[in-house]
Amino acid sequence: MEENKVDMFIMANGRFFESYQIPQIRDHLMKLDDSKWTFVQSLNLKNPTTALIVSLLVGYLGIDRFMIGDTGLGIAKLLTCGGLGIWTIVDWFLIMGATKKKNMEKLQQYLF
Amino acid sequence: MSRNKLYLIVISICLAGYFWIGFHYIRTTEFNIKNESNLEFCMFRSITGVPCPSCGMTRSVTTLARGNIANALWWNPLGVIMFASMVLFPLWIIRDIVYKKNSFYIFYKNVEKFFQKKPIAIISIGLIVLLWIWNLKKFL
Repeated sequence: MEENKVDMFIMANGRFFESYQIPQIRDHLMKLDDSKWTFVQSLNLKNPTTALIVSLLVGYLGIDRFMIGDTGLGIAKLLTCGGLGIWTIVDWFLIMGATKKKNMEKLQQYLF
Repeated sequence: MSRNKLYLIVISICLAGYFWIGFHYIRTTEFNIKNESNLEFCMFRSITGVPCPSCGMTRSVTTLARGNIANALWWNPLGVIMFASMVLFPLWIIRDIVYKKNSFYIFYKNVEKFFQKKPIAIISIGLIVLLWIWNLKKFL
């Protein structure tokens, strides 16, 4: 794929991934076939900051986990009253990393 | 999420649940199910003053452990699902570990896929909201 296209993608979506993954993503996108560009652009990536806000407000009901696609953990969090409030607090610190990991998993379907 | 991480999370949640339920099972009796300590612990209730959709879960599971299904359903219908999963999932995971299989992991992935379908997600959210309204009415 062309370099400016890849750089545009990195500029727009860089903050959705861990910073150490960016060079790796860039390398793989450069090697990627042009026909997959539309798929990569239409990926439904989640914003870690939004996830953090959702987690702070309604993390008690597991809605943050449902949002990033961890449905199973979301159900567990909902049924245990946010893990008696402890899991809720732990997730305030984990949710941004978890969102970035989920975004990477989504992108990996096309990269490898 | 990898298989081993999922198994570790489920086992730790279940262990914490056994301690929690065991503590309340000892502290309460069939006729005096209200234990003051569990209300103080609930963050949602102490902040907002109203019960959340899964309020009454502890009371439901302890009632079910005493064999009273009707009362358990009244406290919280989700308690029955909780009781079943607390009994079944650890046994299932131990069986998986012993036979080196990953059937529980596949089951978990299928459940996730099932609830991510749009009509089913909407129906479940509706049911949870109904349960919440019922909880508010009962004012647990």
